[in-house]
Amino acid sequence: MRHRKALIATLLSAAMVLAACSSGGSGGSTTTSGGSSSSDTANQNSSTTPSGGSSDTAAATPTETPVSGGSITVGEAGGIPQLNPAIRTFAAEEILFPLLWNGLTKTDQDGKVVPDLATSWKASDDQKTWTFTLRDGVTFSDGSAFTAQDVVDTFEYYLKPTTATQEANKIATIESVKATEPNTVTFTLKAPNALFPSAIVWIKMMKMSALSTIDKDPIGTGPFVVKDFVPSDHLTLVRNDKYFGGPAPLDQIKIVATNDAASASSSLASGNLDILWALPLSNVAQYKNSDKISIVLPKTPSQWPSWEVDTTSPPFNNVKARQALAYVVDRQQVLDAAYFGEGELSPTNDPLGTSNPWFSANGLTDYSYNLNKAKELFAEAGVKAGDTLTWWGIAGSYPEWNTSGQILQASLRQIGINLKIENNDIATWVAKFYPAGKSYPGLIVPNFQSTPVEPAFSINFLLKGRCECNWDDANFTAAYNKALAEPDADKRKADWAEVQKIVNEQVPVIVPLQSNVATAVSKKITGVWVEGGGQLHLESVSLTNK
Amino acid sequence: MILRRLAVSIAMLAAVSALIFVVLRLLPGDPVITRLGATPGISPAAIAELRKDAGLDDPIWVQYARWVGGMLHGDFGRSYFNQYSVTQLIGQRLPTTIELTFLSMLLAVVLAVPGALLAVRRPGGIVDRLLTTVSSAGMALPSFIVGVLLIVIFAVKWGVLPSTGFVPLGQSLGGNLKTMILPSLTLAIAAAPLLLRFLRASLLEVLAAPFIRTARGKGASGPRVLLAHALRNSLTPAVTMLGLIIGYTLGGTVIIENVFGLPGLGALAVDSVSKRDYAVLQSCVLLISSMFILTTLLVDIVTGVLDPRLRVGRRHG
Repeated sequence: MRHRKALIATLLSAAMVLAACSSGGSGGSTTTSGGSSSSDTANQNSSTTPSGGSSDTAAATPTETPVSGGSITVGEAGGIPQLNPAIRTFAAEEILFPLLWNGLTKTDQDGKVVPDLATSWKASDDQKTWTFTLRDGVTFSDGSAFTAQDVVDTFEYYLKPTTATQEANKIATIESVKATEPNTVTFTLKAPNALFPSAIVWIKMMKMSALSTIDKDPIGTGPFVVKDFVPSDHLTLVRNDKYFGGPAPLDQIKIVATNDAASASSSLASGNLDILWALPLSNVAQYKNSDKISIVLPKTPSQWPSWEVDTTSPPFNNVKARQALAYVVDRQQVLDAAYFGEGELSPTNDPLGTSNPWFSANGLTDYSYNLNKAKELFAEAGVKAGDTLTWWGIAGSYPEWNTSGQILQASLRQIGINLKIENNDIATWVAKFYPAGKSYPGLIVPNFQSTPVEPAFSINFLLKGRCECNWDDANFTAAYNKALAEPDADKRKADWAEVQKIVNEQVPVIVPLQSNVATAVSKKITGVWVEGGGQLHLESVSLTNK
Repeated sequence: MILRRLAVSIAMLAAVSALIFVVLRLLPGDPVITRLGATPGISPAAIAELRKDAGLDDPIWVQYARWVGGMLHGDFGRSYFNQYSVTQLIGQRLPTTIELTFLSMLLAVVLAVPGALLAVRRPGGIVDRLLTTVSSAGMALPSFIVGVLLIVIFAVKWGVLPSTGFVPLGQSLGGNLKTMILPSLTLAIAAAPLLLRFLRASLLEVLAAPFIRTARGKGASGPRVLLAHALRNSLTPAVTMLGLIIGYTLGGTVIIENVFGLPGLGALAVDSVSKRDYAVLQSCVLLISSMFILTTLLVDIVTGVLDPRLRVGRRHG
């Protein structure tokens, strides 16, 4: 009898742990991969920026003198589970990109693509052959020389189908990569790509012979190296003395997972954290007048909520149903109530924000909140009063999604349509609609895309086989490819305008707004900047004498 | 006797392992899909290949047999999310959870035992009523609220203790204790009232027993009656209760490690369930269950030592 009791107690305790786990996993902590950061380089070649220029960064403006040395602690909500840059999934892993690794090219604070491990590059006239000249005297953190063969090895690894890299879209057109001289690498592309140097910003050069120990002893060329790592808990980085770009100002950067938003906020206030990345938007206002903390925002936000529907099954296989959905979204209320005003409205349902230099409003339909039009279009698409749609969200994390769903629910109710809100944990959520090709009739799936300002690597999400919306539009693909092959910036701007028109008319996904990624930074620190998609840059951070 | 208990414990662990193994796989999603995190443009063929590499396309009983077979050889599997073995991941975190549980139990006992003794000196008196109220509040407040409150007071307002930033025991004893005080206190605030109330009730029961009257009649002083007679006899049920509280606290570490950013087993379990990192979660749950079973075993042994009647019974049995 006693043993049976003990068995029951043991099973109960196991169940309790599980219950606590699942509630913790989906409640409060903004873990993991809610949004696919589909193609996240920020990159614009200075020579290809259209008139008006662009910058998607915002630097903390220092008034104090930077000092050398010291260490900082950075909080982020998701946790870093692994260190391989090729297969990164969790947004926080991107913080490591400029710290541990280098690409052939990189994006600077003005959003321009500038040399990194390559010193120069040139394209053939047909934009299909690209030749890069490598920097001399670069060594990996283990002291070995960085060579053209390392570039070839790294690219071949990224191109393997089983590598499952988020960069796959951007480099899919590479046919071959060859070390043509000891310091020269030549890429041959299957199709013209005038933006190739932008496409490879986030292909990080690794010492491939050390891949099997990359989570324990990653060997890169960046300004920092790993001192210790407890997956999903913390990572300590120290200065890499062999870095080709001169010593980093800081001695040490510690990145810690702050799974509890309330205690992360307190840790920032108590000074235990120096930087808190991607803080909940509801907390931004409290720091706006702080004398200890400043908020660093991207100048051109290019993270956008993408509410996906299955465009191949009823009712959203009918373009009118999708247009109706675009009209029924009260964008202003979503921005004010769900995103706490942190972002820009997208009245034309455009993945490019209105402050994006490539944005073109010409000929676009304005989908501002209009219930009459929504009702009319829904009726034409066969969606009647009394019908029910489903909001398929995530429980606990991404509170802005749930608020958005409630706003949409209230709007739909006014025209007699029901919206059932179903929130699940992330793994359940993703399994329903991912990968592309799945059928999910009647579901509206909130998600977000963290993209560069460059349209080639944000709008490409809508290409066939990528967007889970299953949209397949030949006109769009042709217009996209035309823009991609165009080296002249002004002509390309016209090409992107055509692409935006097709997206605007067809509404493959709902884009209510572009949202900010806010980073709270102690005023003792200078040099922090954030890309449009939200990627945090700490490579030139230093403490000040304040 | 011990051998039989051990055999039963092993059977229980086998049941737990099968249960957790099956339940996890009934949940929608899997580690491969979660790992991809909705990476666009991955072909179903590539996903199938990744599933095969992870051994997820085998029948569930084959997967279970592989896991159990591995464990018998000391191989608990690997995380699907990095190159660490489950043994390494747990090894990084187990000491923190054990230390946290130990310290919070120590604090709970330090708070509860004197509290209960004070309360029973005059049942229904002001001290008793005050302690009952305070302990009700302690039980009613969820741990994560208490944790945040303590952070606000000790870390933000007074700045005397850190709110986050774990220091390993091996690195600095003082630094480690500084980071462990607030989380341990948080858990102790939840556990101490349970123990205090249980001990109080059991002390009152013992104090009403005839042998206490006898002791008093023989002229034993008040404190001596309380400590040597009443407390000693109340300890047996209290230790049993403590065993259960330890199990409960082990569950509580799951939340508290997240609040204080401690690299413990609970935080690892939370992380691995949201990632569907099967191998890691299975082993975490199994380990926490083993710790629970071990605690109940120890409690039985300790109560045997504490309770002379059980000792006599055993000698004769």
